[in-house]
Amino acid sequence: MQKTVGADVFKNEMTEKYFDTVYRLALARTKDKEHAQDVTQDVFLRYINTDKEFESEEHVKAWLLRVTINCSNSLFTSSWYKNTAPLTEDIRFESKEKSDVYYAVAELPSKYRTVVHLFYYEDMSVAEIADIMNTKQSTVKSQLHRSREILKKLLKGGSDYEF
Amino acid sequence: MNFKNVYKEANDEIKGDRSILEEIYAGKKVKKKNYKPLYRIAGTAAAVVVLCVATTMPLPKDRAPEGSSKNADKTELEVKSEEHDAENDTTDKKTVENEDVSTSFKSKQGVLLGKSGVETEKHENEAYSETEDTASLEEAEAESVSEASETEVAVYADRADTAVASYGMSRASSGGGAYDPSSRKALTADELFERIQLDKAKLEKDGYALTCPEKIKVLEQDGILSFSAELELAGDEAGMSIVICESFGDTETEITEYEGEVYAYADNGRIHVNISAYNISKDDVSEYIKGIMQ
Repeated sequence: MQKTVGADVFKNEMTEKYFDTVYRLALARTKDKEHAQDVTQDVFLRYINTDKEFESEEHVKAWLLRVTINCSNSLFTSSWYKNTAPLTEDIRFESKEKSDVYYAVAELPSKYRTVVHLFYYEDMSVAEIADIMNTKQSTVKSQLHRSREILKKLLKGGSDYEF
Repeated sequence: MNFKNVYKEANDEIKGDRSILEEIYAGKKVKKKNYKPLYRIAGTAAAVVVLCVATTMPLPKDRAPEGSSKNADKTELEVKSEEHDAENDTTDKKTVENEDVSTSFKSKQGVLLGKSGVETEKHENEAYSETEDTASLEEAEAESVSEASETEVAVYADRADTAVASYGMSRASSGGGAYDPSSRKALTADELFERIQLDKAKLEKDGYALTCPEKIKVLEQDGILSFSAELELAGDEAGMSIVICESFGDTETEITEYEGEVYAYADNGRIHVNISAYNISKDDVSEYIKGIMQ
């Protein structure tokens, strides 16, 4: 994609379009609204400032998701984050099922949450997730498998879910 | 019920705060997490004023005890730490949260606890600093008129093993003896490196300029040094942002690369290094980290 006068307009459109996508992934990883907001901000500031040329809209989305993961990782390793207890149970949903499912996913370890979110929410394939997470497909598969096992236990007693 | 559908619907209900878009378009960065310190500044200022007034205000003659002028010299403030509030169920006392704006300390339990057996404070990044001190003002005021030494403003720490506050009212550790203001200090980068036995030359890299902060705030208590040093390694086209803090005990290294940026952290059980690098290869970062961790 050539950098033209319209590039800024395109970037703004992409920012609008994927704002919630990035925020939701950041929230799934950080479990904290404000951390998620900060990560989202960092991601889009990088996007606005990058000179990288993107091949397509999908390329932009993949880049944004990857940078979201990286920015979250930076957050996790900061001493500031380690001293800040993430908030929980502060998101209200319309139904109990949604709440149960969302918070069951939130109970998963961070790397599992990411895989589950990308697979079930972003409809990404195992290969795409492996690419974005810079890991092997077999690793993603095993993480998905392990996540489902944990989720089944966490959601036991409620509705029977098909994975 | 289909898990995927429910999870999707739940996520669809979540919306980010789009008010930050304007800042993003303007290229500005506004940390949302900063809201806490901002409102605590007012609380801190108010608490400091109240305490200053309480400790300096002369008492009425008919209530002034004998030798009160002597006692005035002894005025001190004891601050009850949050941990002791919880442990001793004295939470019915009204508390006021304070923030020390100029210093940044927050009590950290957990890893350090396991390492030393005592609770230790942790020095935080200044940019995100927040202090969660608790002082019971009402109790302090009550003590000031009821005890033998009425000029003392005493907020009882539990069984004398907690903190005595400095002006900044930093919360001190509990169970580790009295708080020692001298445990907080600012070291030069060279002093810090010497203290943690890290050769500064290891942080340098050919063709890059290393920038260290002039002073790095540290907390040293019970032989444990808490700090977070942010350094920059800048070249013409590439660079690294390096954060060095005290180790959390796990020996590990993880390096990932994406779109020309390399993210890495390493821990040798003694120091923890977090790196964000651009225009530098993963291998170079890996070599660099190995050099630091040797």
